[in-house]
Amino acid sequence: MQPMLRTFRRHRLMPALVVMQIALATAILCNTLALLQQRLAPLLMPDGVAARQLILVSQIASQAAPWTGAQVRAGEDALRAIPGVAVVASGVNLPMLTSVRITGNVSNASGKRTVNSAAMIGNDLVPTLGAHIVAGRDFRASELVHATAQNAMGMQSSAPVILTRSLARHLFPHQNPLGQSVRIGQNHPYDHVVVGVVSHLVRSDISAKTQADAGNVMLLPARVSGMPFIQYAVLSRTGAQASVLKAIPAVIDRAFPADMRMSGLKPKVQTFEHARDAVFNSRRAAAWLLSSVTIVVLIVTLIGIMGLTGFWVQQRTRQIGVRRALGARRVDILRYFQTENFLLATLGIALGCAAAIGINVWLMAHYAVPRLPIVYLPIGAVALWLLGQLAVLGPALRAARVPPTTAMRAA
Amino acid sequence: MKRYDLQLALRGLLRHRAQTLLIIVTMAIGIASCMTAYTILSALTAAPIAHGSRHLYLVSMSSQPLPKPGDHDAAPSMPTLLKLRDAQALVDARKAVRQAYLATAFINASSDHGKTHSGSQFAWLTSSQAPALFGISVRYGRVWSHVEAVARMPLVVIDEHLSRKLFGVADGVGHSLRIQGHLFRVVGITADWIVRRQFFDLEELNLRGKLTIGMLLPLQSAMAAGIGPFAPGPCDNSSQKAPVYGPPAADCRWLETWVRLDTPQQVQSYRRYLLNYATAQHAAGRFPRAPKVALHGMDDWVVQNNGVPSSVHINLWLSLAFLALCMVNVMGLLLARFLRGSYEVAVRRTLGATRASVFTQHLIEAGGVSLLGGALAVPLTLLGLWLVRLQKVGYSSAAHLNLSMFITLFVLAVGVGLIVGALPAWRASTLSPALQIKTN
Repeated sequence: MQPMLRTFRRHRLMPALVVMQIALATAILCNTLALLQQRLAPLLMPDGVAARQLILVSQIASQAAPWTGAQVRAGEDALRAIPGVAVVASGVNLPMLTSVRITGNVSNASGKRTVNSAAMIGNDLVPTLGAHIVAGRDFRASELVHATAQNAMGMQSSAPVILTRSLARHLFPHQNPLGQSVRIGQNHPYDHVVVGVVSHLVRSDISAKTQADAGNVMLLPARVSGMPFIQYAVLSRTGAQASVLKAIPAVIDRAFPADMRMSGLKPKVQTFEHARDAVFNSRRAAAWLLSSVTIVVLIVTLIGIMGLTGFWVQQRTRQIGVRRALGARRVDILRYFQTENFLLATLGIALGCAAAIGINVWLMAHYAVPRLPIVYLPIGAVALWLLGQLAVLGPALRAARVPPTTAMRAA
Repeated sequence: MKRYDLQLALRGLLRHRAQTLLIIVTMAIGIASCMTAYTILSALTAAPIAHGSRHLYLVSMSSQPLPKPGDHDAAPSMPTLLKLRDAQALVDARKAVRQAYLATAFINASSDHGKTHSGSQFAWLTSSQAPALFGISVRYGRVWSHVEAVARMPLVVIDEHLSRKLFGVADGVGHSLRIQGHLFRVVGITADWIVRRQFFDLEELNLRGKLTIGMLLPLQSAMAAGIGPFAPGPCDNSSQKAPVYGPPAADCRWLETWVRLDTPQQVQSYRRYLLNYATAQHAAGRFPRAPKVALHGMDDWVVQNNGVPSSVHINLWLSLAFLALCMVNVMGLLLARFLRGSYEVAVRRTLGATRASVFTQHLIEAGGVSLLGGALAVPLTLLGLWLVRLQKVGYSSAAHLNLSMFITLFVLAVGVGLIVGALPAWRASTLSPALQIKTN
């Protein structure tokens, strides 16, 4: 230990550069990893639907008069008649569709807890989406309400609701949500009784602000009519997705003729997975960017430390020779350089962690960035310690091979 | 002596080729990541239109109704959308240098014989001064006149791109096109006009990236043909919803009014005029709220309402930190490399070379490395921007490198390289020659 510290004091520049590199790398790494996790989290959430069988039809927009209930029903029947279709639902704000979004604050009956949630409105949503009921039951046919523009798409009614587990936990922590009631928004004095809970559903509008609410969804049983747009969810039988997908456009064209539709806007028929990909596109791009940054940072740091220690070891060849001649074993030399690197890395990591927190505080003050979870500091630290040891291994092994005679000969 | 330093520096560069390459690549990656992030940011913070955006203002007036009893007055921000009657009154008064109202429609037009289609695109329902106001140059023909608009004559002005698409010629004046079954005669062709950042209808629509407005229609004629805006604004009588795509009712607010004002005096007197107008409407009972007006400069308005995604800023900071890491790295590698050559330096010094000369030699070597690093950073930046464009993110179409960026890149590379190289070069030049000769 003693001779090591003395070396640091005598040659300041080299160790200082190593420390600086490790500090910078730690600071960048902690922040990129946290940002990466933030971008990736919704991508990794379970969808809670039968993704392989689900097809979504959207952008059926009317040219003049809004679609009547009969038109919507006729479209539904026509879709159901396609061979290979199991169940069809009509509605608005179906999962992973972005053209219409229904979101807002939902509170429990006492009004004490309020969270942001999305509402998916339509008939037969649970069987069509393939959602898993984990408590309570599905809606009954008698509970269907009419959703129109006049009653805020059914939200101004006393229709029951089904919540996702995430929303139920947010609203009713440590309580059984079944039988409780929820209120939507501030001006809707309607109590909606919770009749069921589904495992998962993911909303399509996830920003940094609503990150924690990504799984907050409630279902409302309604027949949508009198709206200028309508969406369908079609659940195909196993293996029939491709053929159903192909058959849908012609069916939609027959049910909603082109001259009744808004000119220039084509109905969109896509698989759930396709819609999901589109929604998460920019998120995925950001995740790719951040993970490549992480890897490049690690590589650059590795090269840097290797270059510096390589030279530093070479510079001290004579010193190593003397130590070997005085009885130091090869393993002692190896340990010496490894310990030295560990000390420098520790110093760098300490500085880097402080910088990481500083950067995060600054980012939080200026942009919508959440607080850096403390867990990333040890992760970054371990990564850099390992990296440092990896970088020093080659030069240290080379140093250990220096024969004692070198001390006499000199390079 | 200078020439000799240069030769030595060149020889130094060529000596450890693998290491030289490593330094160059490290430097290039750092600079390229910075430039990629910076190019995207600067593209996103560009002025909304090519010329004159700082003289353009959006009118805002307290024309909204009072909240209904029981409703809480959500965000009492002043509306920028006006009713047709108010927008028309302001534009017809001609109190600004130029003025126009506009609403954005989403239109699919076809040529009169129905053979070719424009595909869906954005069109403005507007007044006759719009091209002059926004600096859209008219290539052929003319813009409709005020009289023609009032007479609801079915006229249209389209851009060259659309003219070629529909009629096969750049000058499509005299042809007709069909929108929702109605024929419109083309009276003018404008140059293709790109909106670099959306500035209109920001409260109603969010259209990221570059936009083109290929079609201008006289508002009155369009309404007569049943064409309405893409996003109907709020209506006073909310139980009577605005029709979805047709012209909104008289009590709906759906038009933005843009004016051009060149001097602060003009801005002041126009604001006074607006306040007088609002006061008169308040007195007449049309505006139930206390009269208030505002003029939003286009650039500020865009910054407020169409801000750059924060991830773009964060990426730039991230890449700057990464550049710092790369530069510390380059500094370390250069230091190791220069000190390895201590023996030669010592020999040179004993043979009479000055410290300055040794310093220059090493600085040239560092400069050479950074020049090469900068050169390599250019293709890497292009690669980075290409990767960004591959991701279909909203802003990716804006990611292009231009000449001034290119020059910035080079200056940055060489500047950073010299700063980073100065310390190792200085260390090399201060080595004591006698000690080096002795130890080696």
